[in-house]
Amino acid sequence: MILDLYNCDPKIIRSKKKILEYIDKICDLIKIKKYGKAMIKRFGETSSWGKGYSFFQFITESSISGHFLEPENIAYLNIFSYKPFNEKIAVDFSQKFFKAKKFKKQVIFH
Amino acid sequence: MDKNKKSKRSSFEIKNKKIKFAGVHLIAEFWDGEIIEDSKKIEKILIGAAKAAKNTPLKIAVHKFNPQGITGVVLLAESHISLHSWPEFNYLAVDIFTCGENTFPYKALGYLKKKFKPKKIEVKEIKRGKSF
Repeated sequence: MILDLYNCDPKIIRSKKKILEYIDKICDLIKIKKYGKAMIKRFGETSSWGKGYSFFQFITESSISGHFLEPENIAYLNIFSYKPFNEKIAVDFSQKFFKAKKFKKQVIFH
Repeated sequence: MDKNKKSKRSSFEIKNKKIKFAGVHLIAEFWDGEIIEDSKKIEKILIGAAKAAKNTPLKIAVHKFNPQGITGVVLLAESHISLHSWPEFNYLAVDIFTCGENTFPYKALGYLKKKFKPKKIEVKEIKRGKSF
């Protein structure tokens, strides 16, 4: 599932702690199992645009990843799981967690 | 890779005709290709794919499953490239997400095709962050 969240809460997408909390909660909620620690990196500190966090979390069912563009307050989330999950729960939770005003989702079945 | 290097993420908007979007996400499926289960080789391939796309690799992780299957990701200044393999089905799931004007996701895809030599490929292109 590919989920683009627009007009997110600027404080939340700028918080490493909150992003790590999101990873824990979404995994629990849609019953996927984390495998190891999340990789999380911050880019573009010296730039007035384009800076933000990116994360990648291995899960036993594949992976979840996210990229956050702070100047635009956009979150790009990707949940790739061979195990079926409730996409509505994932979208609702993600939208609420990042307080997004708009979102666009696409579900692709392999 | 220099872990302390501060990298600038690629510019936000790409103008494609009249549509603005942040980046291109390619979701590809490789069938009946070469099975590569060696972590070091997968790392090298991920770096090669990133370079082919003119991307900046920042962090890489590869995990080998028991008894088979491998997952690898390279985090980029321009998003990420990941691979998930299921040798038992002779299947590889490829994810190439790059942002910015000066990145070439199809070059990364071409590079991966050369490495894995799949007999069958399916590719879906998604423009991420399209303006409302």
